[in-house]
Amino acid sequence: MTTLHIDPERVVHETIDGETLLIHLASGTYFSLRESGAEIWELLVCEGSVERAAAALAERQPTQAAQVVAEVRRLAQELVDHDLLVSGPGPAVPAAPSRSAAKRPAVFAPPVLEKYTDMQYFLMLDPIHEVDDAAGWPTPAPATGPPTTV
Amino acid sequence: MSPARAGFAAFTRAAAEALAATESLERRIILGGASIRIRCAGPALPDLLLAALDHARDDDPSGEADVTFDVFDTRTSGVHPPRFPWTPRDVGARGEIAGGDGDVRALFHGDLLAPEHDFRAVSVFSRRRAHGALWVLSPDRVPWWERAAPLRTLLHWSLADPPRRLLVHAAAVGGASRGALLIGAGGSGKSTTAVACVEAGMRAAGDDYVLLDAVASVAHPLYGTAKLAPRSLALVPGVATAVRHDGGCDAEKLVVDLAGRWPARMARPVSVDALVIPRIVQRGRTRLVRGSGADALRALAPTTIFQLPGDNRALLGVLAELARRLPAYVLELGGPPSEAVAELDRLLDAQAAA
Repeated sequence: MTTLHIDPERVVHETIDGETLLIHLASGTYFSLRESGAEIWELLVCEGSVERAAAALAERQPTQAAQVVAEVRRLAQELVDHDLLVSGPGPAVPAAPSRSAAKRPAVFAPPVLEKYTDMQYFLMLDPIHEVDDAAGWPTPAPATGPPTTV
Repeated sequence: MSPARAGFAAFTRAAAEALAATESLERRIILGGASIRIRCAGPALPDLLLAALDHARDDDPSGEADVTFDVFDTRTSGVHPPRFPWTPRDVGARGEIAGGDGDVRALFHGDLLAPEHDFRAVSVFSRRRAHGALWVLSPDRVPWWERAAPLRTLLHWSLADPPRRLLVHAAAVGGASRGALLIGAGGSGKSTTAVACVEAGMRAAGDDYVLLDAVASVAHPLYGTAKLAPRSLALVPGVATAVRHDGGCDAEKLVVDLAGRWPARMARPVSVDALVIPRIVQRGRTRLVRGSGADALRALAPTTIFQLPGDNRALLGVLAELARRLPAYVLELGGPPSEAVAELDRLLDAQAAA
């Protein structure tokens, strides 16, 4: 069983008009999840496992079950790669009314995950650095490195 | 004591010392119905930090203020901030200090990648005490964006109260009764469109940040100024006389004193009945086309949350409800700003007639 969960300190999300907006707070990136992606996201978060999410969606789309299972696996891996989901079991997520099911087309459409990086500027003002022992933070430590030769 | 609480204690103590050591100025303003007392140590900071709030000035206050901000700088007051009570591990993304909670928050503003020119400043705030402080290293380190939208962190911490009230990164423009939020990241045409609307006689509650009452669906003005790229001034030449040259202007952006030039147009909250996403297109006439709630949420939520962090989950929930409830439009900006004004005017008239 491949378990997954969301870290609410790092990721916040909302689904609207069949699209899920995922905001990764730590990196300054955000993502749009469309087509079947919103429904798969909902299932992954609620079921907490790739297999259970895939089985639930395959039941809803029985004529394309093999493709559905493969796409759920692929998307789950992509979400983990982007740190939007974390491997391992997490706390139970209470069932909530689906915001994506009403948008499901008759024919399964593979999920689309789009990444946006235009807000990363705000996090580049990052003051974390090595501190000068005498002056304290935020005074940076004197630059160290190999001596330069002329 | 958590790092944020230690910061609050240290910087409010230093602020009190600076206020006692200098000739201080006290100003009362009203924003979104909240009465705010601002005490500035020394003569330099009021010109820099209070001009954009002049539209909200309350010269005849009655009763106690709801919240107090103390503002000081080291160069003018001679009061050095305490040795920073934090280690690097206490300082998170965007400068937020660890240990902040529902009461106390602390934030370092700065960019240590550019240590010679950054805005070396700290904001601290306690909700329970209704008291905040802003320390600035030196008045000449206050950048143009802080002069145009001053005390934003303290205003965010003190005024935002989701799910009802929150600061959002948006402009708001209105006609006689209806209005719209203009939403999108910097460079989308939001400010130029908002300024053109005001120049044409419409009302506004700001070009970049507004205080949104999500329950009443109105946007309250925060700042009386707008920020324009110098090249945009040619698109709205009527505002040239409102460009501030008193330290509020530099090469990157012009600061336009909209409330000073047209006070009645920024005097009241603007109703929020639609979400409009300006988008610059290369050719064609400017036109409004229907957008989706998802388009609106994508244009509004990330830029607001990354600039004005707080209870991010609650904030996103409020913005999503707004995007579900209000119609969304994309304003394709192909022609001069007068076309955008005409399109928005038509939209708001149609909303009023509906």
